[in-house]
Amino acid sequence: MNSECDSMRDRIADLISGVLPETEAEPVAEHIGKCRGCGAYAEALQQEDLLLDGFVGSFGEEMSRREEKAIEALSRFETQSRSGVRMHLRSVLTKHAAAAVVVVVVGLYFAITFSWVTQITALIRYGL
Amino acid sequence: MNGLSDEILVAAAQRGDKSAYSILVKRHYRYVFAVCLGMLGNVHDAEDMAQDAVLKGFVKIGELRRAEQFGEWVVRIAKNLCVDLVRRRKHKKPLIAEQASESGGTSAAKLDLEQALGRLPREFRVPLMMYYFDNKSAKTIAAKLNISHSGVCQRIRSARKQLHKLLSEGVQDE
Repeated sequence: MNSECDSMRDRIADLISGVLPETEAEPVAEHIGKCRGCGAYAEALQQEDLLLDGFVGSFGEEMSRREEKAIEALSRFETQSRSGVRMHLRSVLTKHAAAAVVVVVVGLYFAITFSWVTQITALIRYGL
Repeated sequence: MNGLSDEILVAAAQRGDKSAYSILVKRHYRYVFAVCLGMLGNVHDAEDMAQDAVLKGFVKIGELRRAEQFGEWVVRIAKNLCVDLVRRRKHKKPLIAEQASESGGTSAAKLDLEQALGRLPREFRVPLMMYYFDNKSAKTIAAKLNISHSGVCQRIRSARKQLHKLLSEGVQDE
């Protein structure tokens, strides 16, 4: 492989992959035509290109099923989120109810304690 | 609704229209899957991550400011999720070949190709996978991966050269 072939290999890879600008394709094709080594290289890359196409193509049949699966997951997620919100609201309500009970109990405790203190004070002041 | 632009569908999805988001998913899923496959080199993981990316996109759609860039945005979400997964599983090696062995009836050549793809560096494998999944449009890949057109071409070239080397030398199990 001479230095020309060496620099050509990059462009051959580009040509076979389809990323070489059209304006640069002609000298590359010409070189492939006259250089046996680069011709074999181009042929091997072409075979690999077909393999890659086949590999990706094999997913094509499954792609719609995968898309549907993702959309189904989306629906499940939405339902779960809604029930999650309900659960959250329920837990918020429970917390508020518990807090209200605590406030009432504490209030009653102070009310009762205060009334006893008042009564005892009155007894001390007037009764004793 | 299928003929509507991404901008219109994103706006509808932002208002909570799930069917609009489903169309966006159908439109962009193959790119998301290709990125995940390129990043992870494993079909099952790629499928899971692509699904997670789509769900995360749905949750965060309200944060998307440039609706016309939905494709790039959801691909970015997928990439970030894959990076996180790779970080979490640093010890585990990616194996595209797993798919082949599970699906059965795979030719030796295909198995070699999948093994070779699994050995490519991630920065080459991602654009290569996307390129082939996207009917060989380097321009679209450049936009989706947020790299220059010449950068994509260079990576595809390097990927093809390394792949050829791996395939011609024969992929051996480590």
